[in-house]
Order: sequence, then structure tokens, then C-alpha cells
Amino acid sequence: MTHRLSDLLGQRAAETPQAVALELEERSVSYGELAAWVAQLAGTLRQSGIGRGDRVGIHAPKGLLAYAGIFATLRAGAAYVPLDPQAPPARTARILDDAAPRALFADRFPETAPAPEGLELIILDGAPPAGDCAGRRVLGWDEALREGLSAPVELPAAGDDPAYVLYTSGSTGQPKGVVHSHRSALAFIDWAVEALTIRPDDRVAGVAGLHFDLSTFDLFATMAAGATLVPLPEGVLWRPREASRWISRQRITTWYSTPSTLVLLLTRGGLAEAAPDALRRVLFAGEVFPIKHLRRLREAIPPETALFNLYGPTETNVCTWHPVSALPGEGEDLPIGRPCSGDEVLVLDAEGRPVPEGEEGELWVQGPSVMLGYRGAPELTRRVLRQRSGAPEGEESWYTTGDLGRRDGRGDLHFHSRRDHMVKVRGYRVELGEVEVALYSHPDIREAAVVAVPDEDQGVRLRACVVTEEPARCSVLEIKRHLGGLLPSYMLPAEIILLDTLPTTPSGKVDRASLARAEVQEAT
Amino acid sequence: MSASHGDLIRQIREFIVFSFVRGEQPEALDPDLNLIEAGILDSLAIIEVADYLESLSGAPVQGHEINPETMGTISAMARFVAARRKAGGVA
Repeated sequence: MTHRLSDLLGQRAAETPQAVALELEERSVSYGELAAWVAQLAGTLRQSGIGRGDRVGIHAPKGLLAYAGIFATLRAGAAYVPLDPQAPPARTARILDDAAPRALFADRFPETAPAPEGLELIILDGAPPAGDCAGRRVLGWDEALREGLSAPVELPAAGDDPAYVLYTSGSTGQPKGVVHSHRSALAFIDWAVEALTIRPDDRVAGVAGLHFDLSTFDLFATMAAGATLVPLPEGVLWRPREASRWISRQRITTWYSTPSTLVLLLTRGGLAEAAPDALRRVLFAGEVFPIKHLRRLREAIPPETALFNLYGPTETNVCTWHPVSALPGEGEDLPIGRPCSGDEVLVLDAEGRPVPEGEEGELWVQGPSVMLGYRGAPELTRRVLRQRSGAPEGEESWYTTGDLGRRDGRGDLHFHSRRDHMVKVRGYRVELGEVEVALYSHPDIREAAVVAVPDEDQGVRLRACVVTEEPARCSVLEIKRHLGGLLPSYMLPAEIILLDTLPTTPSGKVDRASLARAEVQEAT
Repeated sequence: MSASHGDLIRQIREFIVFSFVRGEQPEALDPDLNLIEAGILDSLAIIEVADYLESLSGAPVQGHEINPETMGTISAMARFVAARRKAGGVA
């Protein structure tokens, strides 16, 4: 029985040390090699006193440093905090302040992001920079390996220890750190390997960024199955045709991404012509797959390739799944399916009472794959991890997703919409409030409202409606620059509209529905 | 016909303003502004820009060639296209 994520690698390294764990552009890495490096890097962390109860940041693209850093962190007993290497330094700094890591694996010395208090050790890809490192120890890859050679690492077998912290958009402007334990991660991984029948001869694409929860499947399900992880090289998704050809050339058997990424490959990447013949399964999650494009996907890939619709907020891991055996008919939606990962999912009203079959309610999730909580935010955690009304004494709490849906007559769950102002842009969670807070931080912006506008290919796009202070009216360009310095790319509004006033409803609230409608009259 | 660096900058700048900051005056966009850091180009916009640079230079643009050094600023894009044209003998 595996209790810790780090055991997955150790077991495989003992059984099949020669098997290829990672296939990188520049080289292949066997399970044996990876496990040896991980043990040494974990030793280096332990030498610095880093272990249980600590966190280690990962600020590097998908590659050897990041993957080895993740496993070394877990092996040392700490939790890893993946950071988006593309995010603006200001946002990364806020996350680092909250996460307070004691060590950081980074592809380059962080020049712009002010490193947080308490960060003692930085392990870099190459050689460390000469000169002042602001009082921190900075080791290059080779040094870090050498230093950890002689350090024994004992493995505490506590499955409830935090394993990783994933930061998602927060409506107040501060990203929320979702803390998962080894147990909650493995509840999903163990289920996934078995239900999706991942095998040692599988080649799993690493598509999602490491800061995005889809990446935990790529890394840990691959290692659990003794398969090969093939990370999609940086930049390839910017050339969709190249990405489609990459799937064929790399003989990828398992692809997991958002529907938006698949839509990009279908509409811009010529996926069908690239003939991805080795694909055994395509998994998608994070947003609703438009049926029109799902149909195109079915035609673009071999008929025997299985399709799976996976559902689950970052807080629960994947908690429902739906093997797509037949495409929905006219006017039907694709179910999110049945509970998985050992979880239970109910459709309840606001008080936590069941709603009749077929009627809309909120999806509540309980079970082993649910998060421990939000980092450093017990009040926020209590608000989302709740008891049902009239629940028996001592009942485990439920995660209230904020997603509205129903259970149909066949027992399949369906997602309808959100209860609040959280939207999914290309599969990423965006709290509209976080974008608004960023807009309001500009001194010349008096009022701002951000709405999601339906978009045929992308699901939704963000529209910011802004009223500026007179006479210092700032330009659209200036607003874009301001937001670009604060928010990651997927949170940036595609449209910025300057208005004289924001329309209001009879009750005096901003009329978001009218702002989201097609034509909004711009200020002149 | 060989386009000057200035011509290329004007051309690319017009494309970017028209596509992503409509309503702005093209001159308002500094050719040395990092467009990705400035939030003007998101990941979908980068695809559009790469397609456009491909059409300008007459040669395919590979994913690994897209980085802040080649695509960060309008000046960098103009240099990238000019180098491509020279290498491909298009200019």
C-alpha cells in the first residue's frame, strides 16, 4: 500500500530501474536515474533542515529540475508549491509570501520577484550566479546533488501530511492556496491508474503547467503505472500544427488537457491530418466541452481512442468521470457522470438538503480526494467545508463546490453553471473579483466591472467595463499594461470598454447581464 | 524589395494595435515595450502574432523560437523577420 506520493517513484525504480520515466527533448531519464537524483536532492534539503511541515517552491518549466525538485521535496517530507513561470513577478511574490517556502527550485536566479523572508536555499538548473545572493545559499544542480550524497533520508509514513499547495484565483484579489495531502492526491491517482488502465507502455503527454491541477495526473499517474511522461516542450502550443504533429511523432497514448487546448488543436492545428494513431485515451477537464467541437475531436482521432470527461474543482481533485461512449444528441449536454476517487457527490439545496431528481442544486463532494483546506485561511476553509443540515453527529464535512447541476434519471450528474462570479477561461479558474481588484488598484479608475461573454471557441472571454476618473482618463493601452503587471495571462480581459457610467439594476447593483450582452455603448 | 527596419516596425505595430488594442493610436505603442509582460499579448494573441510573422517572413515559425527575445517587443519581432528574410533570401 502506497501512503506517500514519493513512494511511487521509489517502487518503480526498484522494480524497473531501466524503464524510461521522463522523455525530455534533450535526453531520456530512467526510473533508476531519477530516483537516485531525487534521493540526493532530498538529502540536500534535509541537510538544511527542510522536511515535514515545510514548503518548497518550484519555479521552472516542465523539465528535469522541476520534476526532480517535486519528488525531492516530497521525499524530504515537505510540500511542493508549483509557481507559474509565466506569471507576473508581482503575483508570484504574493503567492511566495503566502506560501513561505524555505527552499526554491528555480530555472534561473529570481531577479525581479522579491524573495520572501525565510527562504534559505535556492537550487538552480545551472551554475549559481557569482556575487551577492542576498544572504541565501544558492546551489547549482551538480553541487546540490553532491551535497545530498551522504545524507540519509528517513521516510515518515504520514499520509495526512500536506503534499502540495496549488494557488487558484481568489475573489478578494489574494490567490487561495489549496492544500492537498498525500492521501487526497493518491485517492485520485490510484483511482485514475486503475479506471483508465494506465500501463507501463503508455506515453503520457505533460500538457498542463505544474501550477495547474491537471498536472498531478500527468506526473503521478505516470509514475504509479511505471509509464513514460513526455512533457510538451515550452512554446509548442503557440504553434498548434506543431503540437498536433508532436502528438503523432512522440507516439503519445494519453493526453489530458482542457477542452480549449483540444479545440485549438482541432481548429488551428490540423489534428486530424496529423493522424495521432497511438492515442489510446483523451481526457479533458476544467470546463464544458462544446458539443460541436467534441464531435470534431471524435472524428479526428482513431475510433478506438477512449474519451473521458473528468470533473472536479482543484479542492477535490477529480471527483466525477464520464466515459464518452456516445455523443450527446441535439439539445443535450455532456454529463460529468458518476462519482470517482472514492468520493460521494450529492445535489443539495442551500441548506444542504437533497433536491428531487432532475432538479438543479449545488454539487457537494465528500471523500478521500477532498483537500485539507486553504493555506492559512481557516475561516475561508470552514465556509466551504461544511456539514449537511441534520447530518448525523461526526459526519465528515462536504466541500461545497459552488457549481450548480443536476442528477438525471440514469444517475449521471450534469454541470449547469456557477453560483457566484467565478468563471473558467481556457480551463483556468478566474474570480472576476480578482480582476476587478486589480483594475481598482489603478489610481485613474473610478469604477470597474468584469463580466464573462460567451465565445464560440473559447467558451468565454473576459470583458472589463471601466469608468475612469475625470479628467485623467487613462487609455485602454494603459489599463492593459497595468493589468499585465498584476495578473497572469489567462486573467487578462480580452476586451476593455471605457464607459461614462456603469449601468445599474433597479436595486442599484451593477447590471452585469447588460454588460455581458453583445453591444455595449462605449464612451466617446 | 527590401523593407527597412522602420517599415517593418510600422507594419507590425499596426497589426498589433489593430488586432489587440483597437482604438489606440499605433504611435502610442513603444516598439521596445515588452508586450507579453505588459499584458497586451495573451497566449491566443501570441499564436496570431506568430502566424503574422510567418506570413511576413515567408518561413515557418517554430514553437521553440517563440520567446521574449524573439517576440517580446515589436523591435524584436522586426529583427526576427528581417533575419528570416535574409536567411531565406526573400528580401
